[in-house]
Amino acid sequence: MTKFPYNRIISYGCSFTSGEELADGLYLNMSDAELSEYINANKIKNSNELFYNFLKLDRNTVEKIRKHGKTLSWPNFIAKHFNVPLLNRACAGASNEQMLYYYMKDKYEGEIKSTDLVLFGLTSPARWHQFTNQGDEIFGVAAHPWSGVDPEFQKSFIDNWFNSYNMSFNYAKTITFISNQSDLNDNNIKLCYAFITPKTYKYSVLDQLSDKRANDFFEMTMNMYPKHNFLFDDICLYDLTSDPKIEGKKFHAFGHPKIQFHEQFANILIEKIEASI
Amino acid sequence: MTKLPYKRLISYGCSFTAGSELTDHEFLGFTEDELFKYVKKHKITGTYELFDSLNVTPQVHREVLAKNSTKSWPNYIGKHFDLPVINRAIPGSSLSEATYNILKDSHDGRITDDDLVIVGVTSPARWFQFTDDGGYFGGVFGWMPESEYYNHLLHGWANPYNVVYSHYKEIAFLSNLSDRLNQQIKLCYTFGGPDYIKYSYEEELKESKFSEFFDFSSSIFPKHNFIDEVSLCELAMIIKPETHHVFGHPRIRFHEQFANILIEKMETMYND
Repeated sequence: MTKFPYNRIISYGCSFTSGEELADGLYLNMSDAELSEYINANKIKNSNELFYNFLKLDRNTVEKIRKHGKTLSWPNFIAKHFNVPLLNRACAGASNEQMLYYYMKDKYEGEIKSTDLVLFGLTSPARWHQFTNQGDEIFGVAAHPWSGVDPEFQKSFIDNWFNSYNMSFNYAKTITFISNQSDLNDNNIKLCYAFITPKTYKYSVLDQLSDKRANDFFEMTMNMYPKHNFLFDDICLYDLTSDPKIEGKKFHAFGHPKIQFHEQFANILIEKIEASI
Repeated sequence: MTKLPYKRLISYGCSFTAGSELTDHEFLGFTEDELFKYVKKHKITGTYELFDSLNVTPQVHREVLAKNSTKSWPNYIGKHFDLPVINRAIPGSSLSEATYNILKDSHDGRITDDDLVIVGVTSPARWFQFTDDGGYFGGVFGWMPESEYYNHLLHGWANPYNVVYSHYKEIAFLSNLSDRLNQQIKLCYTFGGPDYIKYSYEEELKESKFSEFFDFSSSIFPKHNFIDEVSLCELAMIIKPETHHVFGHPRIRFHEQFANILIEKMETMYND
């Protein structure tokens, strides 16, 4: 094993990095099959609905489940391999913007040291993050309800902001910002795609890119951001589940990859980290 | 005169850099006094409305904008350092729009290593985004066309938290970009200096939650790519006919004064 020049790993990301669903079955004392059956039978759409509306769990218990999930996801395999502690600051539903905000806030508060390796597991561009008039955060996935927000307000943004132009430009700008932060801090931030790669993202907005202007703009933004702080830029955690040779269930009930894919993803990253140091 | 290591100066910014109003009266065939009277009499609130009321063609309006852009502060700097100036500032634009135009121009090869890029940082309460067909939508909050979406933006987004954080993040983005490009991008304040936000949100800053957030936000941008802390609007703080044009833009002598302050700083900066 290569001598690791950092004392700790700090990770930022969305549900794919926060280990959403990885600990649910353990806490609820249900097998994965039982849990899926329960969710399907009750037509439950997401974890919050499952925990709060159906299982009537209190906030503390839900927090414990989510905290436990954070100790199981891909950054944990990396920290274990290099024998350093992990601070997993990922949050389900987070956007790249939000990860950047948490990073900047942690840096400002002195939480991040020069001896920390910071990992960003990038997510999809179709997400939102802003502050309310009271300074609280509003965030979420475009197509899912944002907590604490008037649905009309969200709809207004879905109709007027969420097009391929805004999404790809802001995506590229945020990644550029993160990469520049890495350059300013001895390249101690490394990036990877956790949820989606630009290739898969392109596929998701393909109908909008049939227009030449939109397509040219998309290509420009994808070429705009620097790639030198990426551990690798052609695969993401989600992509690993598409291997047709893998048998059995690949996902938990709400679509998050099972733990073996986290381990596989971490192993690819470990190899790249070792090569880079 | 110090010889700058550049062959051209390209400027970006809002109306304060675009030179809004500097030559309008000449094109319209009015004296400044006549223009003030006309605007007051017809209760006109902005340049576009004025030009519409006088049936000025879009072609002539473009000519006015082009002429104005050759008169504003970057032109004095270009002249002093003997550099041709390309003024890409757009009236009403936000700092985000300037960032986009810099990135786009860079991508299109319209900015090269031999160019000095100067950005006139504008006021923070502005918006910029793309429409579904790739056009632009945005401007100054309080001055954008009414719509349901605009109301959501105004009442649900344009609060001190988003405005302050986005503004400082945008400055940080440009400054970091400059560092990547051998400090090729320089910043200065045109509309609103370092204390402008503090002044604008004086009441909100009495609240400890916002005050702490403000301290965090203002900590994220580095200052080393700013030429100076003075802003063009500070040179003519109180808007009045002797110092400003009819829609509140400073008269040409303030552009020259502002440019001279920047020139002095740049002389020192590039001598070292």
